[in-house]
Amino acid sequence: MKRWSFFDFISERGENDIHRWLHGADVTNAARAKINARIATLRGFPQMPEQYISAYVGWPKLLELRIVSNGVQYRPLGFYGPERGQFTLVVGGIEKGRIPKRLLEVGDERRKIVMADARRIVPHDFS
Amino acid sequence: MSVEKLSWRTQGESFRTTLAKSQMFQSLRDTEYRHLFVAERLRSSIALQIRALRQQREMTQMQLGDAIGKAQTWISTLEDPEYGKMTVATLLRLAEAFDTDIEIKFRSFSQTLDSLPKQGPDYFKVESFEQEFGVAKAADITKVQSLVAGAGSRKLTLVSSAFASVPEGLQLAEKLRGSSSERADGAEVSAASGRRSSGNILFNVVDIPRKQSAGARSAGLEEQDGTSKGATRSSGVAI
Repeated sequence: MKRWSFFDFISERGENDIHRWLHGADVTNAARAKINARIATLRGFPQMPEQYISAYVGWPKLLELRIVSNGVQYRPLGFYGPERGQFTLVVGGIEKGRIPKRLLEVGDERRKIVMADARRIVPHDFS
Repeated sequence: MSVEKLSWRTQGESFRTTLAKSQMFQSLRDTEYRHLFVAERLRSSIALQIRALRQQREMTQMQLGDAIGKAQTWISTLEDPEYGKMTVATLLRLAEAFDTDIEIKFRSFSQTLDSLPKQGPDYFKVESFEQEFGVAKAADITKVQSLVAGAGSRKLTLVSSAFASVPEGLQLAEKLRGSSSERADGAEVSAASGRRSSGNILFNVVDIPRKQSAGARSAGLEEQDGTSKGATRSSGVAI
């Protein structure tokens, strides 16, 4: 089996939404380092372990990378695909407790967009 | 390492890997970021490797816990990337349980940048001393013989380089080749053996219900790489 490839969702205007989220006010430098290091490490692991990823009831295709930094839970959402061996990050949030339905809806909407048009992703940007 | 050197694509390296390397370098220029990146990469790598080595040996968390004298919950904690507080003593106990060497070493960031984007599925796997060098003891041979003889409802695939290293092992392999026996519950247990290219000898003990076609039976017996095909099932036991 090949290693995992991580991708980021890009908007209609061609902007990398995940990169923008990672560099936005919500995500600290520490959290960004942690998210990127986690992605870099997971690329080499054949099966994503449950301690690294969470699924949601009612949203079978969406998954969350489990990242906690300084007591804050970061919620990069993604899905397996569009191709085998690929994982695409579609949206990020930092909400505590239950994840808002709106975030899941955006995530699923973007998942469908990517599945219909694979040009809406770029390799994960580690910068 | 200069930026120019990072953008140089090494032999066999994909454009995507070169790009990831260059992006990582840009981020690592920030002191706080790179220190946190190191901490997280180390924590996740160790947790993932403990899990990978346990799975490679087909051990449950409970079995690994027993091997190092700790509870299953402790193993679960060690496999949690958020934990990251394991001591050298714990790592040594794990190395003992996995029968591997261990290296704890500082390195430059250029080495990290060079290796991290290329990290593949084999990165985390490590063979035990016995898997590598096939040191066999009489007790190992007896253990396999009794496992095969008493297969019962268990489906076993026995892979051991131990067989290749001693005359008794090779003799046992020959003796068991293609042998079969009837079981009281109506299933047939067959054992097949063959030499693999790496020098290991593999045994398949496959349960085949009588209803199955001859085709399905042969599919099970022809399987020689440690995995099962078709309607037959097996699981691996390495000694």
